[in-house]
Amino acid sequence: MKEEENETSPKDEEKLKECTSKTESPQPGSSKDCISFQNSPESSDAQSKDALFEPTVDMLVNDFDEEQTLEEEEALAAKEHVDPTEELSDLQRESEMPIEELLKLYGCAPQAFNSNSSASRKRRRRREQLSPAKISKVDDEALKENLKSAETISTSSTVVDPPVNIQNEENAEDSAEEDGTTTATTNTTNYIENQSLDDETNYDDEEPSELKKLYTGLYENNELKLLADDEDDLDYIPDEEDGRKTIMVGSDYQAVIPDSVKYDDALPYENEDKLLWDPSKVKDDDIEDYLFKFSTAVNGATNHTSSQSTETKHLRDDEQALLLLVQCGNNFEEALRRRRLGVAVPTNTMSIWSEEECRNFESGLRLYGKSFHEIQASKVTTRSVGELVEFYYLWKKTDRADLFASKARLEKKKYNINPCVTDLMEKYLEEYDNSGTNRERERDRSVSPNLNSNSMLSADSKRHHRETSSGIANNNHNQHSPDKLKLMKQIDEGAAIKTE
Amino acid sequence: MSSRKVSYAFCGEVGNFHYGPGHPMKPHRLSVIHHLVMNYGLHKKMSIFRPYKATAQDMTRFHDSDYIDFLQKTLPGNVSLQDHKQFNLGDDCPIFDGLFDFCSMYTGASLEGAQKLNHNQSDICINWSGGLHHAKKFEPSGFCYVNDIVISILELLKYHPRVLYIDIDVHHGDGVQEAFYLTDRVMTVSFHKYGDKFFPGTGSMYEIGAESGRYYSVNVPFKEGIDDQSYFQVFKPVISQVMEFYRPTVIVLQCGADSLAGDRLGCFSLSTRGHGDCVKFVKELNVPTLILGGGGYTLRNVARCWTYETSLCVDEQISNELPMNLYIEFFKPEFVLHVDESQGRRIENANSKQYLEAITKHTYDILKMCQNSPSVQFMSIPEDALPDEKDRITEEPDADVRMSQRDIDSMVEKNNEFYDDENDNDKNEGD
Repeated sequence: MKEEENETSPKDEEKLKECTSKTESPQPGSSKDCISFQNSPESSDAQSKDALFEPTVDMLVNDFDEEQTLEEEEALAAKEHVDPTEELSDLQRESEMPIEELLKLYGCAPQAFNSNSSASRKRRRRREQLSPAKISKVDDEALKENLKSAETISTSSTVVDPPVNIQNEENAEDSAEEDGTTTATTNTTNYIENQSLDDETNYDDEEPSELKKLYTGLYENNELKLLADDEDDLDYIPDEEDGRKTIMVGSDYQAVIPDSVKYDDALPYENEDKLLWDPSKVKDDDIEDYLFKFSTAVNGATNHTSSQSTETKHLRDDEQALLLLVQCGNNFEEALRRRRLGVAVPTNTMSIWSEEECRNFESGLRLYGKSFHEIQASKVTTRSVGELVEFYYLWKKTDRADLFASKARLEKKKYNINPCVTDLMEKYLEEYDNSGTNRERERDRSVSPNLNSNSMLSADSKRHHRETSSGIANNNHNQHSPDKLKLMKQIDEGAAIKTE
Repeated sequence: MSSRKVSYAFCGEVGNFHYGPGHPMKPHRLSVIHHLVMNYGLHKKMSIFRPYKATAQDMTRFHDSDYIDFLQKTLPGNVSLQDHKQFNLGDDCPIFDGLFDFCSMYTGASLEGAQKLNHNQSDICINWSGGLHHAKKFEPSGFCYVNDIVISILELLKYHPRVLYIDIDVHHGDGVQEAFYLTDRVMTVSFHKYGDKFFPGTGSMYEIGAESGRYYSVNVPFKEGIDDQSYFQVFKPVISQVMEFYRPTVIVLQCGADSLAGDRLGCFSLSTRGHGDCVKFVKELNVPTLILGGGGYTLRNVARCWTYETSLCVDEQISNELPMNLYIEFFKPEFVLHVDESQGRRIENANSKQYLEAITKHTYDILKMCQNSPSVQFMSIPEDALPDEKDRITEEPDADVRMSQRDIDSMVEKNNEFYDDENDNDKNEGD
C-alpha cells in the first residue's frame, strides 16, 4: 500500500499545488465562505453510497489492501446500472430536449442526479481520500468555474467525444451532489479536469443558456447547505463518530513562510525590553555583601525586619536592590548611595488594600463570582482588574477567605441555589482546597474561628504530622517573609475586625 | 558548569488576568512560577528580560488581520452573537478583561525569545507565559487566542533553515502543526493523548504533513495514564531519530504541564521529574532552544514543574524544600518540589508495551521517508550555516558559488578540523 501511495503522491501534490495557488488570495470575509468539510460518515447519510473512505487504524497498521472493497464497489456499481451507451443516449436525448422539460426533469426530481453513479469516480475519490492531504476548503470560485465549465460542455455535448462527455456529466453530478460532505479533493480534481478540458476544446459559449440558470439555482442551494455546515462547524462539536478531526489545508490555515534564510535589516520591533538583572557581571560574594548593606540601609530607615534578618543570617534576594544595582551599572557604592538617598525604585508591588476595598471585593465576589471584570466595574472601582486578580489569589488562602467561603456555603444551604455544572466543579475544587486551609489554620493565625466540623476533625493529628515533617518550611514561613506577613497581617486584621 | 546562556522572560503583570468564573486556565500560575524561580535564586543564573509587548502587526504575521482587530477592539460585554460565531468564541475562549494585553504580553515574550536566539544572544530562552499552541489563523481555540509559537517560529525561520517544534503538552499541538503542515522547513513533533474525543481531536499518527511538508509532521499519540518510564521510552528514541534525520538548527519546545499526573484536564501520569527529563534531554542536544509553557491546569503542579525545569535549564540543583514565597500556601501540605501526585487518583497506564513499540516503529518509518524525500532546503542551505555568520554577511552571497570562502572557513573552525587549514591536504596547490 505504501508503494501505491508513493506512486500517486506526486500527482496529488501537483493537483494540490494548483488548487492552493488558486486559493492563495483570500477574499475579504473568506473565512466565512470557506468550507470546512468533516469526514463524518453520519453527515453523508444522503449519499451513503458515496460514503467517504476512512482508513481505520487496523487497516493501516496491517497494511490493509483495499482491493477487496474496490471489487465490492465495482460490483455494486455494476448492479446499480449503467451501460455507458445507454447513458450516452440519455444525454443525447437530454441535450435535444426543450429546456422546460429538462428543468422539469431535474427540478422536480433532483435525485435523478444521483442515479447514475460510476465506479470509476468512486475509485478516484477513494484514492484521493487515501492521500493524507485532504483539502478541506473549496474556493467558491473554483466551484463556480467547475459548474460553468460543466455547463458549457453539456450544452454542446453533441460535439464532444463521448468519453469526455461522460466525465463531464460526472462532474456536473459531483458539483450538484456536493453538499458539504464530500472532501474538497474531489472538487479539486474535477476542477482541474475541467480546466484542462477548457483548454483543449474551445467551446462557443454564445447561446445564453437556461441550463446555467438551473445550475446556478442548484449552486445557490448548495451554497446554503454549505454555509449551514460551516455554522455547525463553528459550534465546535467534536465529530460524533469518533471525535476525530482533520488538519485543514489552505491559505486560511497555513502560515506564510518567510523566504529562506535572509537577514532582514528592519528589526521586527524596536528593542523595548529592559534588562532587570544580569548575573554575569558581578560575583556572588559581592552581591551578598551588597544585599546585606542594602538591607541594613533599609532597616535603618524603617527599623522593621532588622532583628529578624540579622538573627537568622539569612539573606533574601531583594529584587529592587538588584534592579537598582543594574541601573547603577553594577556600581555598588552608587547603588547604596542612591538607596540612602531614598531614591524610589519602581515597584510592582500592590499598594495596601483598605478594609473597605476588601469588603467591597468580597461582596462583589459573592455577587458576580469570579467575574473580576464585573467586580471592578461595580464594586472595587479603585483597583484595576489585574490588581483584583492578584489580590484574589493572595486573599483566597487567608482566614478571611475561609470565613467568606463558609458564609457563602451557609447561604447556599439556605437558598439552595442550583449553579450550573461547571460552577459545581469549581465549587467542589474550592471546597476541597478550603478543607485543606482549615487544617492549616492554627499554624500561623491568631484568629482562628472554627467554622465547620471539618476543621475540628482534622485539626489534630494530621496537622501535627505535617508540622513535624516540614518544620523547616514552616519556620521559614514565619521568619523570612516580611512581604507575606505584612499582607497576611493586613488581611487578617480585616478579618479580626469583622469577627469582632 | 553551564556555558549556555539562558534568558528568562519576566513580566510581572502577565499573571494578573482571569479567564472568568469556572475556567480552568489560570494565568496567575505565571506569577506563582515567577515567585518560586526568584525565591530559589535561579534568576542569578540567567539574564532576565522584561519582554516586549507584541503589537497587532506582529500578530498578523500569522493571524488574519480581521481577527486580530477583533481581539484588539472587543471588550467583555460588547461581543455580538455574530462575532461569537465568526470567531468561534465560547466557554473555552471567552472574551475577558485585558484579553489583548494578555496576548501581546505572552506573544511578545516568545517573539523576543526567538529574536535572542536569532542574534545568538542566548542559547536557551524561557517564556513560561507562551506556548498557546491551539490558536488558528482565523480563530481562537482551546484557551489560545494568538499562536505565539507560530509567530516566533516564523521569526526563527528568518535565520534558521530548519526549525524543530516539540510539543509535550497532553493535548495535540494542532495550531502549530496546521500552520506548518505544508512546509519542510518546520518539523512538528507532538506527543499527546489521542482518542475518546480528547481535545482537539486531531493528532493521529497518520497526520504526517502534505505537499512539501509530507513526512514533516510527526504525531505520537498515547493513551491515558502514561507514566514516566513509558513516556521517555518513546520520547528519547523519537527525538534522537528526528535529530539525526532532520538536523534542526533551532528547537522550540512547548512544555505544557497538563501532561503531569493530577492535572485537572490531563490524563497522563507523569511526575515533575519525568516531565523534566524530556526538557533535560532536549537541552542536552545542544541546539539553541526556545522553551515555552502551554497547558497546565492544576496550579501548584504547573508551578513546581516549570520551576524545576527552569533549574534544569541553568544546570542548578535546587532543594526539594520549597523556599518561602508569597504563594507558599498553595503548596500545602508537603511544601516540596516533587510530589507524588498520582497517589489517590491513579490513572491506569493504558499504553501496553506493544503499543508503545508499535508507535515508535511507525514514527521511525515516517522519519526515514523524511530523509529520502527531496527537500529544496536541504540542497540550498549550507549545512552548518550559523546565524552569527549570517549576521556578518554584508553583501548578497554569489549564487553561483556553492560555498563561499567565509562559509568554508567557519565550518573548519566549528568542526575541530583535523587539518591545519583548507589547503593542508591539497597536493595540487602550492607545487
